[in-house]
This record gives sequence, C-alpha cells and structure tokens, in this order.
Amino acid sequence: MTAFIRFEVVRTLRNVRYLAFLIVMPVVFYLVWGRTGGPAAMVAMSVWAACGAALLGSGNTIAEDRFTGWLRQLRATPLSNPAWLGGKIIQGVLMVIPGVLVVSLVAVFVGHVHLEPGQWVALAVLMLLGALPFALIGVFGGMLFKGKTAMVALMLVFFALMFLSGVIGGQALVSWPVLLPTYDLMSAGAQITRGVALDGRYLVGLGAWTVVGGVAVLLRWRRA
Amino acid sequence: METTFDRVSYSYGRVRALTEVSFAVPAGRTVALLGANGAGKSTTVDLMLGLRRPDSGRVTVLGGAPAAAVRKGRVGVMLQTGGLPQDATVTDVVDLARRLYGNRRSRKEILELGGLQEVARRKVDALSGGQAQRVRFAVAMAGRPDLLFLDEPTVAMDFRARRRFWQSVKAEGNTVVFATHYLDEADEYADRVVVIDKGRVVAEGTPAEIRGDHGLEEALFALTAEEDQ
Repeated sequence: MTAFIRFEVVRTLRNVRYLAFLIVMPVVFYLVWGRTGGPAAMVAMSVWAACGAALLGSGNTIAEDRFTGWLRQLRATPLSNPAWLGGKIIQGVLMVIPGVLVVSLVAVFVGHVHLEPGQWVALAVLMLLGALPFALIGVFGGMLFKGKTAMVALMLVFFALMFLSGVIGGQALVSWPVLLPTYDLMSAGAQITRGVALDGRYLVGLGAWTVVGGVAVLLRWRRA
Repeated sequence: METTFDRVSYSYGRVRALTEVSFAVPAGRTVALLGANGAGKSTTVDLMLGLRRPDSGRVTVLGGAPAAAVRKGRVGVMLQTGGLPQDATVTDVVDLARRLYGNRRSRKEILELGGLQEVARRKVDALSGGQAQRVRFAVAMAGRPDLLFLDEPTVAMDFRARRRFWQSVKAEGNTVVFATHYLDEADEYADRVVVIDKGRVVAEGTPAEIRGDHGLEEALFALTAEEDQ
C-alpha cells in the first residue's frame, strides 16, 4: 500500500492546476487580505488548503481513474481493494501537508506570526486529523461521480463550505456554523493559536463528519 | 497448471453474454480468443481475472481461483479498457507496477521490455496510442507473470510495433491468452484458437484446424453464419 500511496501523492503533485489552486491561491489570499490578520488569517487559509487538498486530492483522481479505466487495470494487480481504498483516504490526508506548510511559512516570514513549538505541533496534528472527514467526502464523491462531473461536484462542495463557514469573508453565512466541518476546523485551529483549551463541540463536529463520511464511503464501496 | 473455463455462463441483467463456455489453456501455450465486437471476449477476460463472477460454471486460473492468482501476482494483464493514470510519468507507472509485484524486474528491464526508454520521463497523457499500449504491456510484464492476459493488445500499434510486441511476448515464454479480432495475429501467434460468437464457443482448435482449406477469414464467416441461421 505504501508504494501506491507514494505513487498517488507524486502524481497529484505533478498536477500544476491542483498546485495552483491549493497552494498558490491560499498564499496569495493570505498576502493580499490576511497578512495583517495574524494567526486567525493563517488558520483560515490553512483550512482552505487542507479542505481543498483532502476533498480534491483523492476524489478527483478516483473519478478520473474510473473514467479512463486505470482503476480497472489496478483491480487486475496484486493491490487489494481494501488497500486501494485505505491508500486513497491516506493520500487525501497527506495532500494537506504542502498547502498548510507553505501557508504557515509565509505567515511566519511575511506575516510575522509567532507561535510556541507546542502550538505548531498541535496545529499540524489538528489539520491532518481534521482533514480526514474532507478526504472521506472526497473519496465518496469520486466513487459517486465519474470524470469531470466529480471535479465540478467537489468544487461546489468546497466553495459552499468555504463561504458558509466564513473561511472566505471572515463571517459565517449561516446561523448554525458549528455543524460545518470547515467552521469546526477553523475554530479549533484559532483556539490553538490563542493558547486556549479546545472547545469539545468542534472536535465532536469533526468526529461526526468523519463517521458520516466513513459510512458513506463504505456503503458506496460495497455497492461498487 | 491449466487455466480452464468449464460450462461458464454470464449475463448482464437480462442480456446473456456467455452461454456454457468451455475451453482450456494448457501451461506454456498461447491461446487466441477470436470473435467480432460484442462476441463475449472481454467478458471472458473479466471472468478469468476475477473481475466478474460467473452465474454458473467454474473458472480456474493456474489451477486455482482467478482472484487468488491475480493477488499473488502470477497474472499479468493488458486490458483493452485499462487506461493510464493522468499526470503520472511513464517511470511513475513502471515503478508502481514493480513495487506492486514485489520488484521482480528492475525499472531498466521493464522500460527496455516495453521499448520505453526514450519516453520514460514523459507524462502518460502525452503518449501516442502505440506508446500507451507499450506502457500497458510493460505494466503487465512487471511481475514476471506465469500467465499473461492481453485484451486487443495491438489495437493502436503499426505493423512494426505489432511485430516487435509479439517478439517480446514470445521471448518471455509465458502462458498467454489474448483476445483479438485480427485474424492474422491469431493465425501467426496462437497455438490454439477459440472462436466465440454471441457468447458461445463455436469452434476450438489449432489455427490450421480452424482455417481448414479456405483460410481463417472464410472459416470465421462460415462459423458465425451458422449461428445467424
């Protein structure tokens, strides 16, 4: 499975449009609007990078591979179906790293954001684990839609989450933002940067979305 | 160990794709599945790979269950509908195949086998049809398979590439099953030919036995015409 994950990560990183959308755009947004916003702006743009990478990193390639027939070819190799599924979920989570890392470095060197080492570690762990529900939703979307349709569907989900939860715009557009995983991730990240204890509601929200995403993936996988 | 189809039937919903198909692939032999589009060749290949399960009858591959042979890396596959992963380079794909099959061949060896040295760093999206077919062949050969399944393997290749391809296949000495509608290919490279029409085996034998005195093309017309009546 390690070889498969490595292959998928390298392949995704070769996609220039993907890199532009998930690394360059949040960095540009941070530089234009967020450099005076302190750690909160950094966290918001990290959520953009993490959510987008996890949603699109796996989901888009699954849909493309189903469309082109590569998935069918893979099924005729020693790679087992559970290893494939596990690999795609892990790939989705790992894709979070480049975007979050670059946004954080820009925030440190340009935005002069300062956090204690423990806070950086906690933020990194949160972004990785908090990306899991998005990776699962992405995998589900990739198994549900074929080809470019999946890309469009996942982009709609992505922008809906960004706007509704206030990652873009700075203010949530709904009265129930705690039900949105992006809001939970952003709020928990902001609490880490402020050095206050994490609110359990955000972790429960992320956990619930992970369960929902996991069940959806398993049900879809069993049908495929 | 043989690969066998024993009275295998398969349907897509109400559409019957195969009806009581039986044939055997002896170890070390090359067998061609010959038939028109929609005859049932690709379904036969899918069943041999464990990608589908027969409605009735039994399929064995190298003496065991098809899926088990695939998981053990004993089967190399080149699917007609098997695409290549976008954004990956030829080397990425070759390296993945090597690792999935337990590094049984070196990267260099696989690239040479597929004649891919010059395009090794190129993304697979940028390959010609013939080059893409060679990548699929390289993937199929990565694990030194005991059995090679080739579904319309030379479709996008010119005549020189086709000849080189078959020379490479024959040099490996594997058991080979290939689906084709190129009559000359079946005639030249197969030890045995299984003619499938409308999901049934309508003839089986050596190319000489199938073609008789009239040539393979005439024989095929006659065999499928009988079915139409």
